[in-house]
Amino acid sequence: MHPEKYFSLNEIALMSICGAMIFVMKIAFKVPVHIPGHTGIFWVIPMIVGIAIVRKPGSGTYIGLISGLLGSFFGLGAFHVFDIFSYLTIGIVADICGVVFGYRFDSLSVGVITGAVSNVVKMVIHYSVEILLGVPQYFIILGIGISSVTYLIFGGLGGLISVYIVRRLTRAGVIGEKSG
Amino acid sequence: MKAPDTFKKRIGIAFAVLVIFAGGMFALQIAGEEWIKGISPDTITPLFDAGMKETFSWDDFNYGPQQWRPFKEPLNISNTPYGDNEWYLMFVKANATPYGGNPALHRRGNVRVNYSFTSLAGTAAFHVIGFDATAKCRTNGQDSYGASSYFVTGTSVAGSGYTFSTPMTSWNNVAVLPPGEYNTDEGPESFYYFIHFDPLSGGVGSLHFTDHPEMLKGGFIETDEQSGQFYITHTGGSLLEDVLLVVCVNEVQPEDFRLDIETSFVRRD
Repeated sequence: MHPEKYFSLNEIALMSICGAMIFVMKIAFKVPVHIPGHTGIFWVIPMIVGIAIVRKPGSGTYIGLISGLLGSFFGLGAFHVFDIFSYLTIGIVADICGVVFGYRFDSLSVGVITGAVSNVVKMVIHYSVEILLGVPQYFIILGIGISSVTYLIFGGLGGLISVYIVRRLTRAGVIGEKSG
Repeated sequence: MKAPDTFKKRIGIAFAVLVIFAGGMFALQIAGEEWIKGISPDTITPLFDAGMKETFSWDDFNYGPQQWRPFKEPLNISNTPYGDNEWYLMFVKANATPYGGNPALHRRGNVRVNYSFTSLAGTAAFHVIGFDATAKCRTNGQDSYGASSYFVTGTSVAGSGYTFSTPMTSWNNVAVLPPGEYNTDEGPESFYYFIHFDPLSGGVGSLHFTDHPEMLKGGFIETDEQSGQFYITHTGGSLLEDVLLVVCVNEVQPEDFRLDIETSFVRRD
């Protein structure tokens, strides 16, 4: 299957912009609040909105791949090349959420769940990479309970914002009505 | 229109999975806390505590002349200028790291530095740069509360020899080369340290100089004793994996200049 036949040119352009937006938002919004997972409140928005507009399996993976590649090459954080794993996995998980919930991103519950799951998966991948790179396990375990809750909350809030954006886009006619 | 039952079921299952996940992570954290209590900090400490003993000469100051030391922005070497305030720097690998965080996680202790100058011209200033577990740097404060550093003033006449030092190209995101360790088959690059201070949080104030180890925050210490000792202390939650002692002098040193430095890890409760 050729990607250019599966996704239209408009869809590829849109997903690429969404992937780039995740990268740009991570660079632009440096909020020194030092709460684990706080960036989830904004970076899940382009991911969910992109999937909600394209509504095809693989759209999240594509967005994740683009943001992961940009993050790896330009250095989003301390993980550099490993960022591609986290963002690609986030995209796959967001894709799965889209398929499971029938792309009902106008539903508050679906938005919150997708945002929270995506952000939590990011946490899991980050911690896995840290353990792989030799960070002592107890250093991670001692904060993982609180971190998982903050990741869930911020991801969920990002998902909530995404739902309102998706609703406005639907009302404006950018996103077509669900066929069922 | 009501959502179909399967949709509602999936929503319910997804929320349940997220709650179970968070609960599981909390259980893991609590189990980890209990696990840590049963382990001696000595057995889980990955820190350097070997120490070192080296002698440095006048031409080991390989950076400068300049008025600043590395940080996210240029940081004064001295707030009170000595002479024309142009300093020559060298970065000495301490081979020991202080730790002042949670005593359950690591053994707490300071780095004791014994120094001895021979034919010191002008003033020597000691600063410190630590590298944390994520390769971000920390340093001692220069201004306001918690600031500390160590100054030694000598009486020798300044040297007139040609020095190979060059000013550092940048105060942040810059590689530095400690003296005396680069004549190997691997070449000089293997021993460069990359200094990176977080442009937002910085990383100033968790390392301190003190001559009384019980006074962790230390302060500005000035002396004309050519031999002595001080401690590098650490406060806060960061974990340092490496420490460079930044030795600065404000004159070209004479050819008979010597600086003997001995570092060691001193445990504290």
